[in-house]
Formats: sequence, structure tokens, C-alpha cells
Amino acid sequence: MILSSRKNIVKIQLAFFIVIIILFCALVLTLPRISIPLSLSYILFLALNPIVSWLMRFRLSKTKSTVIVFVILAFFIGIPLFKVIPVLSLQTKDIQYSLPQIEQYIIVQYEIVTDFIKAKTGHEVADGYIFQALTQIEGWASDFVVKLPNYLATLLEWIFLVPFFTFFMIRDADTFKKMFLSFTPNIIFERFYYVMHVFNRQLGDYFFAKFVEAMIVGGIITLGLLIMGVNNAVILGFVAGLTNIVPYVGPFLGVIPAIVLTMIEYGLTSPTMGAVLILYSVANAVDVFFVFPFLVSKIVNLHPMIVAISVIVGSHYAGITGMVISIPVVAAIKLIITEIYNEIYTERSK
Amino acid sequence: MSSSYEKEVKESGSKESNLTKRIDFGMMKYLWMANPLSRVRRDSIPRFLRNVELLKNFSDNELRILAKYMHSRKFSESDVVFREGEIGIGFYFIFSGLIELSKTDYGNEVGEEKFLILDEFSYFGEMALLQDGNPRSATAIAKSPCELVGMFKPDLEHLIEKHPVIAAKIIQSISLALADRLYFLTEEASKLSRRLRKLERQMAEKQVENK
Repeated sequence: MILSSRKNIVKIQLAFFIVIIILFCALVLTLPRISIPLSLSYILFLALNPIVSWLMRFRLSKTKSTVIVFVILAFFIGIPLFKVIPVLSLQTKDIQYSLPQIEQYIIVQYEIVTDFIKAKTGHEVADGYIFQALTQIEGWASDFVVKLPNYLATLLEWIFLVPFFTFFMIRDADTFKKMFLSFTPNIIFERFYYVMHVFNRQLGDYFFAKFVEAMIVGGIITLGLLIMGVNNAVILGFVAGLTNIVPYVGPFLGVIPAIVLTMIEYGLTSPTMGAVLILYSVANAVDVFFVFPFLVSKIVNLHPMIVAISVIVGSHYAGITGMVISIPVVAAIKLIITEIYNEIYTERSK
Repeated sequence: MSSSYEKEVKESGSKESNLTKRIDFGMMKYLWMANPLSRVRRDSIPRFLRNVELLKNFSDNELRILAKYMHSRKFSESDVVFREGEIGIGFYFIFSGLIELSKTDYGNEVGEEKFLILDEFSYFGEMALLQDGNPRSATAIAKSPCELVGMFKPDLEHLIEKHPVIAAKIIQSISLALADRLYFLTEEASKLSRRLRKLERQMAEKQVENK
């Protein structure tokens, strides 16, 4: 009875389509264990897709070009990763053993300072804060060490899942897209397809630009550190490139491991430390003055305030992944709002 | 040697001249593909495109690739494909069924003007593929249950990235069709303006006579 009218069928099609989209969104939002690797692999897919398209011009099949890109990428990511994991486990063990020593050292130093102050001024400095802080830090550290296997398990899961998802996303993107479009109702088909396309293109351009930017920054830093002869130059460069993807906060995050490692190796006031800091500043200056204005800013035309707010909101909801995704998502939302605004407010030429 | 085997067979079929005794694998493949019982969708769209006049300079393989970038859409009777004034992003080939194009007459002289009914193998809306954000110039409504094969701007962009030659060919074909139409319209316009001038002159002469 309901199906007898043509108008009802159109309505049912639309409802079915919207229900599927809502279900999908709900699924992604409620299962972070899947949605985070899924969004990471989507980012990788967007960044790598132009390269695959470019390879396909040489009459290579899609699968072949995807495999080529993956082999090259595995080479560049795999080697630092194999270097990082043993070092990481070694150093966490180190920290585990040296933590009590450091604590003892700080307490002794603190006593010397308080004694010094008491002798000079006659005031006794309250020592509640320092011990509170120490217990707090100790708690965090032991918590981290205890949970480390958990983190490593998640990381391993991601290391397996992200390339897996990315591979099939690149290879079968067109099939997925066609399938999805095939049940898009006729009334909204053209507009929906167009918005989806512009959304994907904007996100893709952004991540491709960011990918290139990260490679430039990472490359400069790796090269500089190699010339200076600092240990772990490749890892540090890789980390700097990776953190560079996060706007504003990223460069500062990237410099922390460099400072820590140089401090352990050469001391806080050594000339190497200064050189490392200068190198990082130069790399970021190159990024800010030459790479960013030509590559990224043309793609994402957002006010700096909106960028800062979206990074904070992103980090609040999805951690580092959120910080990476926030900007293009906001840019895309802006695009969709503009599209709808134009649809509603612009007068049709009649 | 033609680039299209199907075309070649069509052309040589009438001559019945060089029938060799060797097994012709190309022919067997063609017969297998042309088998009316095989209902493989993947083959039916390229085969349909082969018969479209607009795509006559495409080879079979190019059509096969082109078909991957097209979308098959089904419309019921009296469904609207697109409306006049909507922003269009693509054009459609008629796989089966009838499509009626109409244009609203804003001078309110004849009401809605139905000016064209299209059937299989014809295409419509091709201007949207080349224009940027321009509104559709007519409304398209399905006159019978229709199956359309559509190609849209995003598809064209992907095609340009991945198969530039095919993309250039499709743009060339559409441009040729549009250029022909433009030529025809310019001729019409100049004919009309000549007739208009003639009428004006006649009117002016009549007025002079009346005085």
C-alpha cells in the first residue's frame, strides 16, 4: 500500500540512504579501536592516491602501482621503525632502573639548596611540594612502564591494520565509491556526488601538501643531524617530519626528543645542543616562510584563530589523531556550509 | 585495420569475402561477448557506448576504460533527471527509455515548452561537463522507465589524472558536437536577424506609404 505511490518510494529511498549514513557515522564514533586506524589509513590513502594516479599514467595496473608505492614506503618507514623499537625498549628499561637514582639525586640537590637558603636568609623552605611532585612523577612513570606492553600492542595492531586498510582503500576506492553512489537517491545524486568529490579533493590536497611538507622538514633535519654526527639522526628527522603534520604545536613536539637525546649525550650547555636548536629553528623557518605559504595555505583558507580552536577541540576528542584530522575536517565543514549557504541564499538566474 | 573489432565485423559481415578455415580467436571472443544470453553488466555498457555517435572515434579498449568512469542510473516514469536552473555537473547517455526535455517560457507566451524527446543512444546535458557551476538550461523528465549512463565532472577529473588521452578524446568529442551546434545556431541567428531587418524595412516602407 505504501509502496504503491511513486512519491513514497522516493521518500523511502532517501530515508534508507540517510539511515545508512547515520549508522556508519555512529559505528565510527563508537568504536575508536577501529575508527582511529581507519582514519589514519584514510589520511594515508589521500596522501598516496596522487602518486598512484601518477604511476597509472605509465600503463601500470592499479594493483601494481599500489604495490610499488607500498614497497617504497615500507622501505622508508620500516627501517627507522626497526631501529626505534629495540632502542625504545632498552631505554624504558634504563629509565626503570635509573628513576630511583634520579629521584635520590634530586632530593640531595634539594636539601643542599634548602640548607643554602636557610644559612643565607634564615628561612626554612617548605618541602611538601617537591615530594608531592616527585611521587606524582613516579606514579606517572611507573604507570607508563606498566602500560607500555598495552601501548605496544595497540601500536603493533595499528602497524598491521593501517597498511592493510590503506592498501585496499587505494586499490578499491573506485569500487567502493561506485557502490556507495549506486544507492544514492536520484534527487540528490548530482549534488551529493559533487560535494563528496570536493570534500575528498580538499582533504586529499591538504594531506598531500602536508606529506610533502613533512618530507621537506624531516629531510632538512635528518641531513643536518647527519652532518653534525648526532646519533639517531634518521629517527629524529622522521619524528620531526611526523609531528610537523600537527599545526602550530607539532614543531615543538618534534624538538622535544631531540633536546632530550642531545642532553643525555652531550649535556645541556654543549655547543651541539645549540647547533641542534638552530637546525630545528632553520628547518621550521624554511617551512613557515617557504613551504607553507606556497603549498598548504592555498588549500586551507582558515583564520588562524579557527585553526587553533579546531586543533584544541580535535585533541580533546581524539588525541593526536584528532589534532591531525581537525584542520581538514573543519575546512571541509566550511566548504559544505558554504555550498548549502549558496544553495539557500543565492538567487537563481531566471 | 579499424580500431574497433565490432565495427570491423559489421563492415566486413556484408561482404562475405575472406572466410578463412583457421580458428579466428578474435571472432570467437566477439561472438562470446555478443552472446545474447551473457548478461554481464561490465560488457553491456561499453557495447552500448560503441553505438553512440558521439564516441565513434574511441577504440574498444578506450570505451571499456571510459565505462568504468560512468554511472548507471535508473529512473521511473515521470521522474525528474534534472531541473532547469539547478547547478549541473554532468551529462547522460540514454541506455534505454525516453527522455523529454522542456523549457519554461518566462515570457508566459506558450507556457511550458516541450521541445525535444530523446530515445536510446542519444545524450543530453553535455554542456554541464564543460561549464563551471552554470545552471541547467532545460528540464529533463523520464517519459518511460529509463536507464541512463551518466558521466560527471569528478569522473572527468579522475579520467584526466589517470587516462589523459581518453579524457582529451571525450572533451574533443563533446567540443565537436557543441561547435557544430554553435555553428548551426549562429547560422539560425543570422538568418533570423536578416529576416528581422527585412521585416523592419518593410514596416518602415509601409509607414512611409501610409503617410
